[in-house]
Amino acid sequence: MNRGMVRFLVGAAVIVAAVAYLIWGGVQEAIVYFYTPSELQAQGDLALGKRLRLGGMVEAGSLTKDPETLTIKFRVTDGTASVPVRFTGIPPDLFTEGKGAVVEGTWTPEGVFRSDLIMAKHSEEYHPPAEGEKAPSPKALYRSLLKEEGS
Amino acid sequence: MGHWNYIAAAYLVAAVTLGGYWLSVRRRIRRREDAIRMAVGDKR
Amino acid sequence: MTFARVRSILGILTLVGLTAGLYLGLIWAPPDAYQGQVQRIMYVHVPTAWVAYLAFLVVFIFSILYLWRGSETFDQVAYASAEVGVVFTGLTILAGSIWGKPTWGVWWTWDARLTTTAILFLIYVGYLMLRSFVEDRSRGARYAAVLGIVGFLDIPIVHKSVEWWRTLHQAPSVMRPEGATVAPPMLFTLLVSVAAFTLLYLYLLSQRLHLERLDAEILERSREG
Repeated sequence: MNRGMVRFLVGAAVIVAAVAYLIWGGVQEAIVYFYTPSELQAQGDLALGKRLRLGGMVEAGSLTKDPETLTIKFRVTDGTASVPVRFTGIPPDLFTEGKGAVVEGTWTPEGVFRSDLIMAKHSEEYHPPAEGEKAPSPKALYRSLLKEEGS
Repeated sequence: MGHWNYIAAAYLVAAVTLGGYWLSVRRRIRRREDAIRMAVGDKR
Repeated sequence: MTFARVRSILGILTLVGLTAGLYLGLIWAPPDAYQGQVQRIMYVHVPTAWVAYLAFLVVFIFSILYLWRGSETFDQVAYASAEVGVVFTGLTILAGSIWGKPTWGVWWTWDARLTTTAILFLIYVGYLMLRSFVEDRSRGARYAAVLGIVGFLDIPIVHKSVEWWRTLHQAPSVMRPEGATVAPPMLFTLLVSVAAFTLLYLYLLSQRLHLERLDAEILERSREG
């Protein structure tokens, strides 16, 4: 075996191992990327202690923030069941009531989902703001960009 | 509205990646052309 | 001379298209009602993903043609397109990641769309490694052609992943049977950007193919000498 062949075999082994890892580890995780509130409640105690994801809509009227402790409480719903979530940290800008969210954390015996990571899920629909709720013009924002450099 | 940083970053990353790839192809072409020119020169 | 002519015309068209796309995407198009300005990253992310699909479709078609007909030209096109495709796949992941942070709140997550895209990237990096490490050119070309055909199976999986499984990534906005879910001025901007990036793909492919032909010429000369 010459040097080129050895390098090729090592490289191929790395790629095959990475793809195999992604398929057996990553894809398995990716297929059940998150549980719905109904599924989580159906699992009951089986879901305790494991780190998992919960996905659904942030129930309208359920969101409360405590600015002192950076704790946010809300409920995630799938239309039939809803689960209370307690989150500590800074949520993404697009996280609001009535929109989709995927939260990562653990299910506790008290029936509260404790999370330290919120991901906002947005839809595939894109449209400009309606008349009256006009967003700032690009020019003003370019100016703000220059001012904000390094932020 | 600090999101312009992300917009600038995305467009810059695209420009650098694609521009860099284009330059790498151009550089490789020039090297081959030089090699061919030298080979032709040798035969004369 | 004619090939060189085609390459420079493509280059000029690409430049015009990208300038138009840049103007439309950064200035002309309105911001999104929900995401605001940051949605403009879509005009980079979606066209690069489209070109990645297109480039690997070309690899797939020309790999079949090469195995069927055995002409080296088919293999050269497949190789050139695979390299360009890897660059665009990497860029799709990078720009998508930069879009993900301010919207989703994370740079990366292991959902089905992102995972299958990472696999796509690795498959074609493997393709390029196969080509550069197998020294017998025609043997390497045959192995690579098989990988180029089998690897393409991941493309429909990547595209359908957001329908088949629960993901953080949103469903397609344009390439969907029910029609686009993008407001007209944004859709127009997106289509101009997709056209410009397609021209850029053709331009880069023509350059990369030229390089491949020069390599073949050098090989030919070294055999003669």
